[in-house]
Amino acid sequence: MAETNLHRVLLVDDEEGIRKVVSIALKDAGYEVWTAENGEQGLDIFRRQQPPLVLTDIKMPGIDGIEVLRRIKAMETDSEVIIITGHGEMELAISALQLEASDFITKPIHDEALFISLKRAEEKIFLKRQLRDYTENLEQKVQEATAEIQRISDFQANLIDNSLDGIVAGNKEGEIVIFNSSAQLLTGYSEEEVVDKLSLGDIYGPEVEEKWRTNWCELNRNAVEEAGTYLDTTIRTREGEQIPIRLTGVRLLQADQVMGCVTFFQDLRDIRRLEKQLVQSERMAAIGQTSATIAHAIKNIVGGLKGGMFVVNKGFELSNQDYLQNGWDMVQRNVSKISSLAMDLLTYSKERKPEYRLAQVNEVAGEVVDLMKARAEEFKVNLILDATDGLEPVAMDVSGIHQCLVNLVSNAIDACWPEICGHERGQVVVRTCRHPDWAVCVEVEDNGCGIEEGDKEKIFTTFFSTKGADGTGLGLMNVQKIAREHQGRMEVESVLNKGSLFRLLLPSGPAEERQNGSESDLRENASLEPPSAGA
Amino acid sequence: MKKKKILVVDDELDMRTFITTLLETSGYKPIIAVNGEEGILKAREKKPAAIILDVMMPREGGIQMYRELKTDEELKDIPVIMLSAIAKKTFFHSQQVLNTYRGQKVPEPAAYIEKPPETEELLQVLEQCIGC
Repeated sequence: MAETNLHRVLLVDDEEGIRKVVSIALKDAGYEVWTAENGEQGLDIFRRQQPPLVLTDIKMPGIDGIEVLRRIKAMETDSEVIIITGHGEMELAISALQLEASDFITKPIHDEALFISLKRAEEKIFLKRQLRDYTENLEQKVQEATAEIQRISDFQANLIDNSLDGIVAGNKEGEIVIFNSSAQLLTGYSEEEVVDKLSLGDIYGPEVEEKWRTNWCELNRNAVEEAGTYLDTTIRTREGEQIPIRLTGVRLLQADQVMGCVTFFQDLRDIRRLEKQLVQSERMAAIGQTSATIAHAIKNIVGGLKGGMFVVNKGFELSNQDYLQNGWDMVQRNVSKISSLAMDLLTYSKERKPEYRLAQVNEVAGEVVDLMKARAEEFKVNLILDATDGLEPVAMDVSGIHQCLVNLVSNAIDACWPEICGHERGQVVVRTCRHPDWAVCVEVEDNGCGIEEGDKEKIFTTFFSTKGADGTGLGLMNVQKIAREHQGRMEVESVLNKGSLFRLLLPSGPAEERQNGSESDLRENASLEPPSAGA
Repeated sequence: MKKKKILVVDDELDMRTFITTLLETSGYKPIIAVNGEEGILKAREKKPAAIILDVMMPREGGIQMYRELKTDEELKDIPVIMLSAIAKKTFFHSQQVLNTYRGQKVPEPAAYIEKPPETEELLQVLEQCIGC
């Protein structure tokens, strides 16, 4: 690069007087000055000194000013050449300017014009140099930025490729443009088989295609993105298998133009399996924790059986018919207690596969009332069926609902026990009715002892019983479990010493839907609020 | 000799049947009450020689009835045999807590038997109580 000091001038003129006068003026102004009396000498000095500024007379013998200018410009320096012209040399001056002379000044040379001209030339050089520096700098910057962009792009490609989530991006036509490793691994498709060949609709089901159409594509540019929502759907593998996935997607915008969408999904099979295990292990834990409670219940029953045997023996010994009868009743009661304990435990610990079919709730309620009549009579309770005709049949696991109602009715009968409530005669009503929000509603209402306010929250939990040794604490827990399996709901209303009302609410819907609904049951239990028990 | 009256207070039918049979066949006259309220009434009315009282009963319960008996001038000398599924230690602890809490000193029951009662044990304890 040329020397940065701009205050260096080469003066070429054949008139000695001008050389003298001008160089004095220049030196006075702080310039370093070389002088030459002809073009050849001038070019020679220029080559050696590389002065940024050249003042040259235009008319000289030998190499004239125009030629000096031409040769200096040919050297590709950033030096500026100012032409000195005499009177009437305007034509020459103009051609000098065309040859990129910086300026021209006329003889006689006025200092003021000279310095303005020099100053302008210096500024030109300065700008040229700055521009050159800037350009060089810019090239470097571009190189750096390109490297950075490459790095980021590699990083993102890496990120997308190594994500545990499957990532599939589509362009605005819905054609797949990105299909990452996880997606490849899960579906068995290679990138080449999918990218630019298949559409989102080809690998996801119609649900996702619909979502694409309504939210992610150009058609609906103003669709509002529901942030954070996900869709549980399936993805089709190369072999045609449907794998359950949880999917989120976003529309990609560039300056308000839809350029495509990207979807992220997770394989739900592992999660589903873990959820299932969790439910099972909770069930086992509930049983483990309370084996002491069970032992206690059994101890009480054994006590009852022993007592019964004692009374029966006394009956034999003394030939007393009353003792025989009372003792035998005791034995029977305790045998039925232990069998119901065993049944309750089995129901709760076993993962029973509910079998759904369309059925009339009135039929089930009728069967339960018939079944429980004898027991109600034994406890001096009126058991009444109040069925509403014309209810729609709903998809239900008939034996589950049957068991539910048996539990509720037998609780209701127990609650009416005259010795506890002081009723002459208790009353239990099993009612089927319509409900504004549910397909079918079954109520079991008693005028028994009611539930204490503080107990309402506990009645559906493990092994809570208000019946002391008579209850296993499992009945309502099973009722709740069955209601949930039906995606239904249990409600309870109760006033102490006035009675209780248990309400089982069931949704409608075709049986097939509920049939494969066991997986969505799990999801419901895991991610949504549990149905409130004591509402 | 007139049969001694024993008041049996228990909400459970099985337990009542068993104890009354045991008492009847052992020469006593059982009187039945199914809750604490009835128990106090019958105790006042029949003046039993002893009371066999279940601790765990709905509502007022046996503990409350026991305290009523022991703070009643007329009834406090009737020996009471507590019968319960609760461990003896737990019961006595609860009595101490209640004594401190209410600032009243209630004597310990004549006997405490854990459920289910053995026939021999119950009779033996009963004899001792009435005898003394």
